[in-house]
Order: sequence, then structure tokens, then C-alpha cells
Amino acid sequence: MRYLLNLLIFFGLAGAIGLGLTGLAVNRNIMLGEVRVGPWVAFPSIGTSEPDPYARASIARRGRIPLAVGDGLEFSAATDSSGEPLRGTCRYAVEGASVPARYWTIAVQTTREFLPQARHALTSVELLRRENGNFIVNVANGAQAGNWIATPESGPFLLVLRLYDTPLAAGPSAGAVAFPQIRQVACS
Amino acid sequence: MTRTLLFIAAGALFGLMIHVITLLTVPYNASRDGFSRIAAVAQAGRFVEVGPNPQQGGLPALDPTFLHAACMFDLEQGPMRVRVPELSGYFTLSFYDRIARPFFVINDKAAIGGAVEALLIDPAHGLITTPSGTTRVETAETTGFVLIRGAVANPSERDRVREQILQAACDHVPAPGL
Repeated sequence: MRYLLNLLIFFGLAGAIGLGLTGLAVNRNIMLGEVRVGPWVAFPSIGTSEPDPYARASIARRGRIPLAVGDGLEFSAATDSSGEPLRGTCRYAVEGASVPARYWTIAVQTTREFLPQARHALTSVELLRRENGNFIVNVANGAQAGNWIATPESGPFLLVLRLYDTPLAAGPSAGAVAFPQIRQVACS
Repeated sequence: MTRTLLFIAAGALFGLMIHVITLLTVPYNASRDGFSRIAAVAQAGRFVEVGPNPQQGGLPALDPTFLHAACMFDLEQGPMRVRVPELSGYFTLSFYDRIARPFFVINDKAAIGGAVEALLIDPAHGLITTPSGTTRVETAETTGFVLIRGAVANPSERDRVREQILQAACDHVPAPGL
């Protein structure tokens, strides 16, 4: 009887831990090898031919095609530079001087709904800049002057900065480079 | 009591093993993974546009300022020749395996006379010679897909970039000895 109980504990624990951890990892999209610069996070491993097992599982589950490391590096921000989650009910300003890439784009992305392409993304070519090269991208639900990308009316969203043909892909020197700041302007 | 503790410890350890094993099998069991979605819209022999809307057969998390087109490959039919004609903006040609891992990327800097040419071979085709100006891509994978990403720097260029991308070609060439 005692033996049976122990066996039950063994299998129960093994199953719970084993499948539970995998379920958790996949559902929370946990990945390893995070590179973080302020609010911007990238997982360079997913663009290589040998991504870590967590990245591989997450990508497969979400049906994604990762950006290859020789193609580009994708940084996502779910919060502004002070750590507050990005929300459609607020307006933000993404301010920067230069981004280390030959070509780059910035886009609003949500996890669930598909956003039509128009005005949810901007490229480095069409970006308006000041004389000193600095730029501001206004991120808000309603139209803004200057550079503007639209967010959903409400709810959380991601800002995705994709760097193409960038020296950053070579290594974790990203921390030494200045990335754009995300500043909350106003909330309704 | 110690007997039970032993079983608990063993159970936890075994659980970790199960975790690792099940984690590694996820990509092979995911029915809606990137490869399956692409395979549902793309074919071998020509490039088909892949959209950014998952509800319309597209893929999630694609850069909305790029146009994408995919072509499936099956190297058991022989080596595959890929040709991307001159595109006006930034573009890349990337090669992915059966679980959507990228194993090679060519960007527009490799373009000679505006076009990019590549020959995709596997070890069975080893003796084939690559014409000059063509990038040789060797892989152990038999199935996968090739993805063109073309940047649309200004929205007004969208139709032109789409037209250029869909002129890209991917075809199987006879392997020596076949």
C-alpha cells in the first residue's frame, strides 16, 4: 500500500512538473538569451540556426517565422522607458538620435488582433527628422502631426523596432548603443 | 518516510526530464507552426505572396512595412535555383528548414547587376558546379522554404515592390547523375 502511494507520488509529480513546466514555458512565450536596452527587448537566439529549445517552442506555437540574424534584429517594448505598460488610451513619443542599422522600421503590434498596415508602422526612409538628425515618432490612437503611428483605441500593445543589416546582430554590445526613448505624453 | 522523500526527489527529477523532452518535441507537433502556415499558401516552383494577417492565411509578427513571398523546396527533386530580379529597395532572401529555423541569408548587397542568384543543394548533389555570380547554399535539410522580404520604404512603392518580388523564380534543376 505504501509502495503504491509512493509510486503515485512519483508519477504524479513527474507528470505535473514535466508537463506543467512545458505548458507554462510555451504559454508564457518564455525564451532565453534576452538582450535588453531600456524598454527594448530582443532574443537574438531565435534568429540563429540553433535557437534555444524555449525559443524554438515559442516560435512554433505562435506560428512565427523568425527574422534571421543576418537579416535583422527585432526589439520589442511592452512598456515605456519608465516601465509603465504601453496602453492604447495613452499617447507616447518615441525619441531618438540615431539607430544603429542601415535600414530600420518601427511598428505598433498587438498580440491578438491584426492591425491593418496603414499608419501602424514607419520606415527609417520616410521618417521626418530635425536638422540635428533627431526624430520623434508620435504613437497614439488619434492622428498626430509629424511622424505618427496609430495604436488600438485601448488595451496593451507592443512597439516593435526592427533593425536591418545591423552590426548589433554580431554580439551583445547592444547595451553600449543609445536606443530611442519611449516617453508617455498624456493619458485619457 | 525517507522512502517517500526519495520518491518525491526522483519524481521531481523525472519531471524535469519530461519537461525537456516535451519541450523539444513542441516544434515537431505544432500543427499551426510557421512552416505549416507557409506550406498552406506557398508551393514549389514559384513565389507566392505571404500576408501579415493570420486570419487570411498569413503569418503573425511580420514587419508590416515589408512584402513577403515564399517558395517551398524539396531537394529530393534536385537542387533548387533561386533568382530574385532587381528590387528597388532593401531586400533579403532567407532559407528556412522544416521547423522554420533560418539557415542562410543573402541580402541585396550580394546582388550582381541588380539580381541575386542562388543555388540550393544538399550533400547528395555535391558534385554540381555553381555558375559564377551564383551563391552556393549547402544544407543537410531536404524540405523547407525560401522567403523573400522586400522593404517598402514609402507606401507609394508598395505595388511596384510587389510586382518585382513576384517576378522572382525558384525551380528545381536536374542533379548530375539523376
